[in-house]
Amino acid sequence: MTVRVPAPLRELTGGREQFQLEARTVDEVLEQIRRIEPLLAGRLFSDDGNVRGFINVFVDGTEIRHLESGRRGVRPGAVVTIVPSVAGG
Amino acid sequence: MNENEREPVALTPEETLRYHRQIILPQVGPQGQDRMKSASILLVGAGGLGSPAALYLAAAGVGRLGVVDGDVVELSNLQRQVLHDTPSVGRSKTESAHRRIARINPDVQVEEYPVRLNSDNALGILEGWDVVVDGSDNFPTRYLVNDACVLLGIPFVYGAVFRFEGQASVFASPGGPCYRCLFRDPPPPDAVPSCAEAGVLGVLPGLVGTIQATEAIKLVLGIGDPLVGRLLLVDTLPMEFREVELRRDPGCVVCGDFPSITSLIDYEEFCGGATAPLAAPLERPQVAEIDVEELRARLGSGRAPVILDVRENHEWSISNLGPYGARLVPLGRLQEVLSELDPEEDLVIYCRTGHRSAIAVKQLASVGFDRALNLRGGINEWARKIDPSLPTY
Repeated sequence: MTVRVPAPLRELTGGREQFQLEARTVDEVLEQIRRIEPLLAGRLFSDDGNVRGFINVFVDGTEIRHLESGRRGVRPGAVVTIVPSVAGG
Repeated sequence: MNENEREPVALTPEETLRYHRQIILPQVGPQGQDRMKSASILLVGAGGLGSPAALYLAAAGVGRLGVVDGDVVELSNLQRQVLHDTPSVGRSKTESAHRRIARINPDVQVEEYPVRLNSDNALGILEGWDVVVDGSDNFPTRYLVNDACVLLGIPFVYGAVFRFEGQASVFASPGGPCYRCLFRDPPPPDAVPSCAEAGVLGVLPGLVGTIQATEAIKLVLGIGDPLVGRLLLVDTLPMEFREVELRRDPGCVVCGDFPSITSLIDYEEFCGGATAPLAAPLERPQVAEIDVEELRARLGSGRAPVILDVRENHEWSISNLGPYGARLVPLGRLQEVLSELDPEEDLVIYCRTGHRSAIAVKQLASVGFDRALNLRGGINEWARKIDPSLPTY
């Protein structure tokens, strides 16, 4: 599946706009992000492992906090969208 | 004859002609146009987003438009802030907006608020408007607009831009989520570069601002499906529009079932006080600093430091401290010139606002340059306090 990296966070992925990972559950998605892009993960997750309050992670358009469990399955071609807060106007 | 045409409306013949192309839309009709005429929309920010929103809302015939902005028009605004023009540089943005709107549509009543929205004035300014369009450019104002709109029960149309990407949604609508349901906490200060630091494609706020205007009109007319519970993500490089689902958070501190915020708070402190540690290099490092007054004093004494400018070439051409011997070394090339610098000498490093230069000072300190100081506020602060002949950007 594809993880889309928004512009404000690309400094943490060496400029990569997206990357691929393989996961069967939401927990595995987050685990893979930590493994593949540790700097990005440092920005996404607080020390307790939760997504920080100024960033959201969506799997196929649904925010992962709203999924009933991290063990919930994700489809093979799912799109992971990271939405950071930006203030430009 | 449909129902709309049977009811008398207060449009003049000239207005009927002016708005003919939208009056013939069945979803608008003379009734809708009349509703637009009696509607009031407040624009927070007359910048990149507020500009196209104001132009289209005025042209569409919204009866009353409020414009809140405490800034003056600067040359660097004109690449995207299409409400303003070259002769308006130096004029207040609200005055410039008022003049332009009056030329587009003299029937629109414009109310100017040439102030920065804050916790003391927000409720007084926002109260009574039908819809608010948030085109602000900083986090404290965004949280302030959100909380004030939730407290007053006014829906607001959110938009934000960064480089080539934008976001839009409708918040604080009855039953829908608010901005805090999406972003519970503000990012730490300096974690997210502003458009002034990171850049923005001029046409992008044009896209997002017109989406905001569209949503505002839909809310006024009660037509279509507004972006309530949906966040629209725009990426102009691949030219993709995507959306993700948003939900109201029952635990939200302002719009939740048991809100803990029932009056406005200090938003500068709220956004500046976030201290969540980040494992990322965007945070401004804590380094030794010098302020612009002290630097000026030292330049006039026998203890003038060596000055390095770590911005890019094009920024040097906007403003620089070349007359004081400053040397341009873009941050990315700092390592290449280390051998030319003397660790025993006093060094002052500056950039636009002090962020990149803080990184430079930290890099220098790590290789033994203990006498390097960061110029607090950068060259923009120098221009504001010491040499007003220099432009800020």
